[in-house]
This record gives sequence, structure tokens and C-alpha cells, in this order.
Amino acid sequence: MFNFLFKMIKQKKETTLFSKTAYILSKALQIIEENLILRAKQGDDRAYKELYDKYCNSFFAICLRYSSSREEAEDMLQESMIKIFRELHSFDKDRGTFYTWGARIVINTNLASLRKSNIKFDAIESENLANTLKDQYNVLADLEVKDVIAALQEMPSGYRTVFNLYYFEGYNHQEIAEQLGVSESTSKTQLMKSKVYLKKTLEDLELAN
Amino acid sequence: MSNKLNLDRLKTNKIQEFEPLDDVFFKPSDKVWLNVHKEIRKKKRHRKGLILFMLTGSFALSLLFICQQFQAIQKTEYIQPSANHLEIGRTNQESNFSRIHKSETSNGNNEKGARTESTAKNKKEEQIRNSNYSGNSNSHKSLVNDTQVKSKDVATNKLRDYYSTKNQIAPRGLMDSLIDLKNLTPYVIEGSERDNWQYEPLKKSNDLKFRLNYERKSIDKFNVPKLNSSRSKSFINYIGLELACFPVKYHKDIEVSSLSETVSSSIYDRTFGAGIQFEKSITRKFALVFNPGYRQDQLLTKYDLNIPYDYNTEEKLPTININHFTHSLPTDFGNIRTNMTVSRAKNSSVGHNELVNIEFQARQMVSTLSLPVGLKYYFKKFKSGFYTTIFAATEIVLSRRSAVDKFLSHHSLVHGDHVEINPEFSSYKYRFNPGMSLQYKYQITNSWSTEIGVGYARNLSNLGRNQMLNLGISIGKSLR
Repeated sequence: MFNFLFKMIKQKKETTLFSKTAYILSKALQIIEENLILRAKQGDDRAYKELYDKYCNSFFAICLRYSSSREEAEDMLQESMIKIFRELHSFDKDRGTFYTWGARIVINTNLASLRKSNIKFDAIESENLANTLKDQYNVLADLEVKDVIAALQEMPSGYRTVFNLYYFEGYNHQEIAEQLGVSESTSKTQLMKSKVYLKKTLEDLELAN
Repeated sequence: MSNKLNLDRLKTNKIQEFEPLDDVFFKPSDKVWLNVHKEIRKKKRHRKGLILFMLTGSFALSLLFICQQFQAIQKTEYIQPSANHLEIGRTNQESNFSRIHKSETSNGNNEKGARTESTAKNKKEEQIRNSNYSGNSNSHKSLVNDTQVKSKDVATNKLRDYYSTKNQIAPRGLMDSLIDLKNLTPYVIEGSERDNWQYEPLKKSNDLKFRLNYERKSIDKFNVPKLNSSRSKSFINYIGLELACFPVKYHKDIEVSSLSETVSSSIYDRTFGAGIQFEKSITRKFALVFNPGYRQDQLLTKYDLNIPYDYNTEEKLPTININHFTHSLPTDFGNIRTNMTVSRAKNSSVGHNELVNIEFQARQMVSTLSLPVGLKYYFKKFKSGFYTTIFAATEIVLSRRSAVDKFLSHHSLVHGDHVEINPEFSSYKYRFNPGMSLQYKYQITNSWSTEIGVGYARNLSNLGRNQMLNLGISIGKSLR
């Protein structure tokens, strides 16, 4: 590994010591992680545990966003982690980091579960929707992550799923419609309604605080 | 990252940035890991158990087969010495005859003229017999000397023992019919009489010779079916050579991870297999079969790759620039690692990080050893006609070789020049296929027969063809 680091120092073109150090550290961490994944692929229980400890919080945050309760999120995390460890042999480090690969599986597992439990998309209530949306940013100006997640968990599953896919996963409405098997307009209205709902929830939260 | 987010920032932030999650709020309970760990261990245990079960099963079957074969051989070997024993018994018996005969002649009850009237033919037979009896008369003399007894009672006991032994080997009725010596009184050779006695076992009366010949033939008749019977008790009733054809291409849907959605198709090509068939009848209509066989499967996997062409990693040659790419691509038998070399013309319009579409096809040759064990049911009779078999096959993947079949770029100025592939480590090596077949058996000769039929098997593991339809033909010999 040290040979590799020396090689990296020679090859790297950046001049500043800071950027060199940062680069070498990131490479070292990458090598450590690759080694960890390799050990896990070979069935090493300790490697599984280390991987779990490293990523469980991040993956759990994703599960929290898609679930209506903490218990449900834990179930989803459990299912996702089992899938990740079972599919570990198909992970290719050249195509992305372990986190992105794992997060993709976590999101897919959550979506599959939501599809199974039939996501409820509320009917459109268009009156006053436009007016409500006008001042949403005033309310949502400063939010903590925990508040957002707590508010998301309060939402009906249809709102929450579309909101997550749009804001967190970065899909557009056409892609969301394809993934959830709904029309594009349904996706749009669900997003609008989710914002309204979120606003109301956070207003209540602020009042409570 | 700040803990403060608004919706606009949420939309622009990447997932990775949403990671300041050391807070207890984002910590799942310990039972999640315990359950995950339990599941992983269960899977590992299950896989180990299945492999162990299949290996143990195959080993036990092989052991049973070898043991039964060994027993059959031992039975054959056991009968041979008993036949020799009969020969020795016969020699003893004849020496007894000679002694008895001697006693009779010494008492003057039997005439000497009978001996001198023997024909030339008889003399010839006697010569042959003499040569058969351990080379020379010395051995016989020693036999007589060794076995001589000092009293009548002891001699009688010995004779009885001899008959009791003989009766154990041969059916009583048969031996009794051969020659009746039970009521004869043995004569004990003693003193000077023994010294003067010349052993002439073959110069006997015609009657005695006839009786001896009759005994010999009977013993031969008695021996022959005994030896054959060992063969009929062989563990296997039928052995044959089988050829199987898998005439249908099988399209396999590979379960790909969400980041590996590049497989456009995966097909198992038509193939052939060969094996040996062993059969052991249980009842009149049921038989156990064991058909170890070898098959080579050809798996063609097509990929549709979109490679972001990178200027930074290019090697600049005089006329072209080349770039190397490495992928780990999924196949049904585990991943394959590809090392691709892609070149572009200097004047090509490919931009940096532009996706270049490349069609790639890999061929894998997978050698498999199949160990099916089945139960055969004959609809009518053993020798010919229709029968059906229910079987369960354990298949072991012996080897896996891969080669590049096609490497084609769809970009006019970018070419797929070279690609190397290597199979990555795969833990899948065993499969389990239950199935059934319908066949027709045609008797060619009394012992040779040919069979033709169709079989279907369903793979219970994810590896390999999920369904197997095969046409088989075999020729074999009945060992009944």
C-alpha cells in the first residue's frame, strides 16, 4: 500500500501540499474500503459488520424519508442491507462508489415495498393550491434535516414518495411517472400537495416550538 | 454540510451530502444488525448444507455402488475355492476308493482279472488323470500318509466329516445320487502292508470308473450354474451408453443489480451430452437408475455498453488515439472482467465524456458433470416397451472458460479494437435438477437393447438453464 501511495505522490500533478495530502488520503480510504468489500465478498463476518457500521446511518436516513415510522424504516433498512450483502458480488467499484450503489438498492427496496402496499395518491384539490404555493418558501426557508424527515413521515405515502423522488433523488416528473406507474400530471399534483402538506406540518411544528 | 436546508438546496444537493448523520436520530436499533447477521449466516449455512448434502449423497451412492460390485466379485471368488475344495474332496474320495478297493482285493473278493482287462482308451484316460493329480504319485502317497488313521473309528469319523462338509456345499440329494459311500467301511492301512502298497488309483474296475466319471460330470454340472448364479446376483442389471441432445435454445433472464443494467440478452445454446447408464431392478416393474453424464453448455451473453469516452486517459499514437476501459459484467455464471481497448481517429468528432455505444458479446463454455439418480417404471415389461423415469440430478460445474464473440462500436469513428475477458471468482458450483422422462426400449438381441426418449428437468438453483428439455438415445447390454 505504501508503494502505491508513493507512486500516487509522484504521479499527481497538483502542486499544493494540501491537495496532495487530501488526494492521497482519499485514495487510501478508497483502498481500505475496497479491501473491506473484498473481504465481505469472501464471506468475512467482521467485514460485513464494518460495512454495516459505516453505512447504516446514511442508509437509515434514506429509509426514514420513505417510511411513515421509525419501525417501518428499520424494517426497510434490514431488508436493504440483506439485499446489499447478497448482491455484493455484483458490485463493481469502477462504476461507482459503494455508497451510491448501496443507496440505489435501498431506494429501490423502499419503492418496491411502497408499490406492494399500494401507494395512495389523493385526488386533486386544486382550489387555493396556487395561492398556497406562493408563500411556501417563506415558511420552508430554514429547516433542519430532522424536521424535514419528521414532516415527511407525517405525509401520506403518495406525497412522500413523489417528494423524495423529486427532491432527494433528482428524478423529473416523467421518470417518476414511469417508476411509479402513474401519469405525469399525477406526479406533479402529488408534489404540489406534498409541499402544501409539508408547509402546514412545519407551521404546526414551529407553533408547537 | 450545514444542518440547515431549504427545498431549493435539497434539490441541488447530492445524496452524498446528506450524510451528517452521526446523530442518534439516524442510528438504527441494534436488532437490525442482529437480524441482518442472522440472515447472512442462515444463507451461508443453507448453501453449505446444500453442498454438503449433495456431496454426501453422491459419495454415498458411489460407495454403495462400489460395495455392491465388490460383494459380487467376492461371491464369485468364494465359489471358485469351493469348487477346488470339491476337487480335493474328490481326490480324497478316490484315494478312499483305492484304499477300499485295495481292501476288497486283499480280501480276495474282487478279481485281479478285471484290472488286466482295461482297454487302451481307459489307459489313456488314466494317463490324463494321472497328470492331473498333482504331478506325480508321491504327492498322493504323502496325502495318504498324512491322512492315514490308526483306528477304524477315527477313519469313520473323518469320512463322516468329509461328507458333512460336502453336503454343505452341494445339495444332499445330488451328492447322494452321485455315489453312496456312507455304508462302506474304511480300511486302515497299517504296518508292512502300507509299505508294500502301491498306489494305483486309476486301475479300478469299469464300474468304479463309470461312477467316478459320472461324479465328475455331475460336479461339473453342479459347478457351472453356481458360477453363473454369481453373475445373475450382480448389482447392476443393465449398463448402457447414452447420448443426449438439448435441441432448444434457452433464454435466461439474469437478475442484474440496478447499476448493471447492460445485459441485452443471455442465451444458452443447443448442446449435446454423453453418459453411462446403470440400472438395478427392484421389482418386476420398478428399477433404480444412475446415469452419470458430461455436458458442455455454451452461454452467450450480449451487452449494450455506453462508455463515456475519456480524453484524459487516452494514449496518443501517430494516427489514432487509444483508450482502455475495464468493466465487471454480470453473466449467469458470475461476473466476467473485461479489459477493452477502444480507438478513435484523430479527426473523430467524439467529445470528452461522450457516451460511445459498444455492442459486446461474450461466450462461455461451461463443463458440467451430472449425477442423476432415478426411479424407473416399466409400463409393460422389462425387455421392451415404454417406461417413465423420475429423477433428481446433482450437477457439478467442472470448468468455465470464456471468450469474446463480438465487439462492435456503433460510432463511425470509434472502433472496438481489442477486448480481453476473464471470469471472476464465482461461488456457484452446484445445481439440483429434479425431472422426469418418457422412453421407449427396443430389444435388439436377447441381451442388447436400445432406448429413445424425451426428458424434462427443472433447475431449482439460479445457476444455468432453468428448464432442460432433452432428447436421448442409448444402447446397452442386459447383465441378467
